[in-house]
Amino acid sequence: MGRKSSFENASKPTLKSLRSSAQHDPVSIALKRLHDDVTSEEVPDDFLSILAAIDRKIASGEDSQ
Amino acid sequence: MTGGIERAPMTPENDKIFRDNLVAIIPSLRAFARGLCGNRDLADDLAQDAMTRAWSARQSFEPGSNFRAWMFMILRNQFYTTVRKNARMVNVEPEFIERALTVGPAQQDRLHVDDVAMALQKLNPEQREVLMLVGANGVSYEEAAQIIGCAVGTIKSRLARGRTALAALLEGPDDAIDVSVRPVKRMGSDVIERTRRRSEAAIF
Repeated sequence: MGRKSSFENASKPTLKSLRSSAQHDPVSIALKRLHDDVTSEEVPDDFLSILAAIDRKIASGEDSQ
Repeated sequence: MTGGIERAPMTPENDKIFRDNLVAIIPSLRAFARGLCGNRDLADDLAQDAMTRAWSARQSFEPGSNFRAWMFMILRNQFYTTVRKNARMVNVEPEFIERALTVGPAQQDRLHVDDVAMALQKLNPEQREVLMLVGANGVSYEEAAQIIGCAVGTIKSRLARGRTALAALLEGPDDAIDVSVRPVKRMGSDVIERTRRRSEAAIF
């Protein structure tokens, strides 16, 4: 009984162990870092130009009904 | 077909909300695009194209539904359209190749982002997009299934196979990223310029 209980406890993943394994999985870390690297970049001017064009459309009421 | 689906009228107020949603999604959109094509310029062109197409089609966006999923769907469709038109396009930045040839094997517990970006390009697109959505972007299985248009089980199996393949590329027996497996041809600036012109023409 005691051994079974011990086995069950040992095999049950805890929040801490799950978090720890994810933190130490190099592929997970690298994928997230790839994402974070791009999202932390400054947004290029071309994107801002598109937003400026949209702002002009909104201000002029063009396209709106 | 459209019965029962509520559409937002294109008022200036709704357009401003839509515009704010676009602003908020730009970083994630760029990251998804970068993971899909591995080329910064092409990825940004795809993201800009997706933005202009989304703006033009904003009336078809159902208010209250998942804006991120809708945007990722537009970008994904544009990616596959571009890939089909440029079957031999390339995806890998030259500096990734240079680094792989000169630096050598990736370190197991401190993988370089560039190594991962390059290895991603060697996977099939179906695995790559799931890794970027779920693994990198933190999208749920259900949302990924909605974006890609497949079952949740398919997402899980593609993710598992993609992770295994990516790990094998990064940590495999040869412990090196082989860039000679398939010919790499850099996408011509003319193609990128055509994409940019088309993107601008869609909105201006």
